[in-house]
Amino acid sequence: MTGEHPADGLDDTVHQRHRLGVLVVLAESKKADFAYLKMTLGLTDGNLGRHLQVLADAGLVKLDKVFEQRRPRTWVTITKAGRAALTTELEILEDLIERARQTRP
Amino acid sequence: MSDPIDPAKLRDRVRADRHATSYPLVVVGAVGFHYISFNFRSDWVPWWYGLPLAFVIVWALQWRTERSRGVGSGNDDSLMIAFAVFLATSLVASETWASIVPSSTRLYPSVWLLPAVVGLGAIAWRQRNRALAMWTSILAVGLVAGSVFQDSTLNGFDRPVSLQTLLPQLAFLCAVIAGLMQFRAENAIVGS
Repeated sequence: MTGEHPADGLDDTVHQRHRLGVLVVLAESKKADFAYLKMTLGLTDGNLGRHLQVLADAGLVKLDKVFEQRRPRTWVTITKAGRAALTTELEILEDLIERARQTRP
Repeated sequence: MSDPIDPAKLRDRVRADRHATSYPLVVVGAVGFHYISFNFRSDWVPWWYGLPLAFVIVWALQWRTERSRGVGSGNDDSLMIAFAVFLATSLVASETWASIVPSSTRLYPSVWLLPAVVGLGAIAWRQRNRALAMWTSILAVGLVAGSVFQDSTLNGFDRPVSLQTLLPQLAFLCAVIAGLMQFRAENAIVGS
């Protein structure tokens, strides 16, 4: 619909800053494990686990729980939908920044 | 309140953790430099195997990083590129190539390194990595310049130095040095 504010297009699932961080990391690397995401984003186990579940439920990431050298390891991979959602989010944010610049007194 | 997410900084961090720029630059640069320096007559491994092998080494280094640090490309891009480079080097090394494209002999030996430079460009493109793309261009320019000035020499030494060898050699050596500097910069980002 024309005349809609770009902010209307923001998806709350992606826009939440920790989930946005997870998607940015995965878009760059394609694959990261739970421990790496926790360390890079400075989150607790419970917090990251909840955010990953939200992203997985939305089909934006895929979680693979495996055993490596008898230790459990969770690999997180970005899906095509996740990559597309991140691209849309960043385009909207750029649009918003551009609008804010134009209306700056 | 914790810091807001900075996508650009986060991307740099992830790229540094993977050594995404330095590994391909150092390995492909060093292998290319080795073959130019020995006029492609290395006793080590024939160049048509050595150049694809460089990409297998890049893949192995990235696989090791993925296992130890928990972040990686999660696919076999470098292996696919190694296979493509292997096919390309086999083609340009063949008699068929020389027979079908006789004028291409004027590009020797630069054309032998071209598959490796294109492979490096493919890695840069897959990663959307500007630094790697810039060095790919510099290496390509070095190879083209070596072909263009193949009959020219640099005088003033004991023996004239052929620009056909010197220019690509310089380009690959600079790529290795840049890769090593990048490796240090990546470690600094990870440590910060």
